[in-house]
Amino acid sequence: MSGASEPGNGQRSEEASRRAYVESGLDLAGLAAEPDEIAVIEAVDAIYGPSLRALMAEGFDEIPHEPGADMSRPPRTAEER
Amino acid sequence: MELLDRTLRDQAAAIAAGDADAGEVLDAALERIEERNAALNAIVETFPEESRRMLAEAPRGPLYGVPVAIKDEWPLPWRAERLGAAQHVGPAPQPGESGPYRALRDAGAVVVGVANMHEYGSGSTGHISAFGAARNPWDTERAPGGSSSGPGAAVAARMVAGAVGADGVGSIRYPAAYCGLTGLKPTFGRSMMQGHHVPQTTTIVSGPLCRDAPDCRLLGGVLFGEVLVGGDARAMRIGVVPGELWDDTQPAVREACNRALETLKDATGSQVEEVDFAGREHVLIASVLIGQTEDLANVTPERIEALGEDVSIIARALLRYRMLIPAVAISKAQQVRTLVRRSLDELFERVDVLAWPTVAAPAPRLDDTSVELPSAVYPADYVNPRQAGIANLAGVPAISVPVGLSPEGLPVALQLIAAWGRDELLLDAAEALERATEREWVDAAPDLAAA
Repeated sequence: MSGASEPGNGQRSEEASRRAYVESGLDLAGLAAEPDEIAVIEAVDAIYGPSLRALMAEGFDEIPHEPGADMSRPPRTAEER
Repeated sequence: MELLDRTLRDQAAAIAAGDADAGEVLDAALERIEERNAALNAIVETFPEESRRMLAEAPRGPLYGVPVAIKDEWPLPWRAERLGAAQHVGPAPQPGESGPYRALRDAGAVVVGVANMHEYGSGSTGHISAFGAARNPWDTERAPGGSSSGPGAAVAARMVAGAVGADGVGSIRYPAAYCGLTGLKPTFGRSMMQGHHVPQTTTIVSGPLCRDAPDCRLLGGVLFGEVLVGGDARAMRIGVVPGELWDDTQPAVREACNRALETLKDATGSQVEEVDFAGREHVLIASVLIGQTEDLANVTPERIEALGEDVSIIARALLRYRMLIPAVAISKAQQVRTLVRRSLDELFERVDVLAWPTVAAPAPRLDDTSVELPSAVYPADYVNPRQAGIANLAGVPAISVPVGLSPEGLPVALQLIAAWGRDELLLDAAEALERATEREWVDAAPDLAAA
């Protein structure tokens, strides 16, 4: 195993990256958090993070926008409105 | 059989015919809540004097004199909503006449109690609340579903025959599924929403939790402000989506839902075909992202840090986590929404309803809300939106109907989804299934309800 994901090899482990993301994010947002709250946040990100990041990786270039979307009705494009 | 054990419509008919005294029915409901609530924690507050005043002033509407419960998400003139939480984030809510309250009042119904809910509406299980967890009447060690946990538990325990919930990412359908009830998530915007604490929502709707579809039609019509006319669910084109929505479910769920689908098909002369829709792989995260960030407008770091330990650690952590979500993720979720809406719009040209299990597994335990599925073990809160979130994402109506019991004796449910505005078709289909199964599952009751 190359150990590319091991600390000290230029690429942090997923857990270390998550910890850094959470702690720096909270810090930038001006939010304090207890250790147990951080642990829960990390657990939540471990669950939702993969789906979240898969979503962010999508380009969605082909999807037309739906300006002023009305959730009570079928969709209409700007041309159809 | 006591009147309280009968359906909402039977209670209304008996009172209207003079066969039952509305005041006595109210007293009986309060007494039954007193008897059964300690084991279930379904109702967090009753207010006999307010209820009696409602009855005294009640017009002779379709629900005249019938006691109902309302989720702790809706303000009442004498009580602001608590959202199942010890503290509010943002301005403190005020008492008031919410849309659902007005609808119930104008129909002559009597609000007999406020029903428990999952803290801040942020869960699908109901196991976290400032009032303590609500419990499932089928097994009080199990979750009743959320976030309309109290409505589900109260109706399943026959404290009331109907309750008003709210559904932003499945929060009527999960307790309906876990508690063996029928729960309707209306087309977005079709049911009363005035006074809701997230007025800018694009996902949340008020809706009924009842024992069966005719009662959901009655209470749903009250919340819509219109009579939901019954129709004929014959010759439907029913779409099933192969893949995880059916396959990644517990065997008992899959088998019961398959049986129900076959029964529905045969009873209505319908056809079943395999279909699919675009964006399916992102429905879970997109529905959660949109549904759980719409209420952040009033959230600030100071307000989060002001929350004390009487707010659950989960809620304190989730609020912080939401402050870290990149804006691009919300934007992408909106694109998924557009993609799914377009795909469903095309799909509903080919099929009348979509069908799959409401939840992938029956109610989890309160002390461990994970569920074991063929693919992995998940927190129920994570996997449930995979099944139900699409309806909130797209704005379409969806109904959860009970279709069996697991080997452990826990309710199993099938979800039907239709196009915008076709709420009545879902009720028609649910009623057809009830008739075809001789009401086996809608009349099934937990032992606690027979006490």
